[in-house]
Amino acid sequence: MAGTTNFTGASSAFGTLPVLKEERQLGLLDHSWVNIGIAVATWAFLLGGTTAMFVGARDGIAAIIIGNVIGVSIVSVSVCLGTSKYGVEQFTFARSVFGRAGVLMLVCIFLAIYGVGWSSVLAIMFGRAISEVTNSTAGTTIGPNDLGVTAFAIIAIAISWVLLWKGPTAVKWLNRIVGPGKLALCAGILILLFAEKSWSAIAAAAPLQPFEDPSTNFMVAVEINLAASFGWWPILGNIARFTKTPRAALWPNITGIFAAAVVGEVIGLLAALSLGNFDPTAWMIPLGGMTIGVIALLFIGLANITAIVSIFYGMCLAMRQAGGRRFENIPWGVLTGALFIPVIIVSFFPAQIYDNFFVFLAWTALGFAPLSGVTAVDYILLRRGQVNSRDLYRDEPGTDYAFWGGVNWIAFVALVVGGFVYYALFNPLSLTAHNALFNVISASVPSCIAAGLVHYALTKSLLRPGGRGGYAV
Amino acid sequence: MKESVVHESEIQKELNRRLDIVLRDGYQDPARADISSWELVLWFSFAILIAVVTAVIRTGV
Repeated sequence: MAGTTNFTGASSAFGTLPVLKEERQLGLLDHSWVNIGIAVATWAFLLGGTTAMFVGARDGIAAIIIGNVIGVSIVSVSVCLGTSKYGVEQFTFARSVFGRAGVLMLVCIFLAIYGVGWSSVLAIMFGRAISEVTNSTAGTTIGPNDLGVTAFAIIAIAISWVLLWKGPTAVKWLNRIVGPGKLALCAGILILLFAEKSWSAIAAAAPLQPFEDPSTNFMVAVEINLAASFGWWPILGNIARFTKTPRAALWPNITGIFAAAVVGEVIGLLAALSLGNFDPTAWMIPLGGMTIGVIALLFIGLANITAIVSIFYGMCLAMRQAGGRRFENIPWGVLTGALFIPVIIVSFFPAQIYDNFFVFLAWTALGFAPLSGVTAVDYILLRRGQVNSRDLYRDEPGTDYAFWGGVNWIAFVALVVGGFVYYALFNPLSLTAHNALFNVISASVPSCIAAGLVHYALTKSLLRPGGRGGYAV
Repeated sequence: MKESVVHESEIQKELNRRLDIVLRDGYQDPARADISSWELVLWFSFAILIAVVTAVIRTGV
């Protein structure tokens, strides 16, 4: 049974090696807290604020719940079950779907854009939050798009880098403190909000920048929330990898990711409608006054750092895995530091990035919704949960996941079809419907289903008969 | 260069050690159990229920 494995992609302490039983740290409760820690990040406030641009309170709450529960339930199944069962890093595991070279393509196309984009948004939000603090306490006059914001964003990136260096244990302990603290922040905002305005006043508040058609507005709001929830794809698997049971891998995505994201986004929605501004950094001082506002802004800054660390942890593991020996020999601190450089560059453009973040979000859904469909169908339906652990780490031709030159082109065809379905229904640049069906079925869900169906059909008809991919005949 | 070769060799050794452990007959790890079909059905049913109830409440039925 032993055999040897020629391997390109492992690392030592923070690598892609299979996790052993004694190294699994997360039960139901711990996994929930970790998920709460990353889900109640301030991006949730920003997302709630963005939802308020299109719909009012009642429709906004519905859009947030529907978008999140659908997206999270699909993404969790697509990435958490396999990585938890086999204890394998998510992008190593993805070799079973896309092949070794295919994962490298995936990482370079999807993950780099996603990780850099999101981290930049969070770093800029940190910059704006701290600028608000210094403007209020030290008499500075830093504008929302000034270089001062960029300077603070770079500080956030530097702190994130140090934390990332310490590895997942540092994130776990940080989230045990920050997770509950962020819930307290949510409660505080809610109390201050309702101390000033009644529910009926907030519920009557008009959306900030709606389109003309109410049904389009509602579905755009759902779509934005679907996009955000499908965007968990690169993150959740690498956390679930450390869970102790399949149940602990799955359900904390509802109790943690879904529930916490909904709470954070609904608060963001109500605050944005109440204060007439989508940007969370502009709410705190008007809402809580100087002292409470400053404390809240500082805490928002800390919360953003935990989110950046979580995003980058997954991204760096993926880069290391996908990059093979060249990346393997780069020290962890150097690799993570190098990957932060594009984030620093993007942080010099706060207006272009931060104020248009929902456009970026919609584009990511065009990639992650099909990706979720393909990976879920591959693991659950085609492989029935059975993967060859040893071949996940083998690069030689003839192994299960060699496919065609290391790429499973069928999975990529499915992704492209899913992307076309998305674009046929919805324009992520202008946020307008390309097809009347969009108002009924959204764009992400059909895109996810279409990609999954194409992957299933092509794998059954082409891959499995040819004996490629290690699919049971 | 020599260091990296040694490092790589150590990683491969560790990888093979771990794979030998997890692939050993009788290796006991509760995480390696398959999730049951009924739990998956329950998972998606729960999600759909939340979405449907929310949609119904929104439309004011």
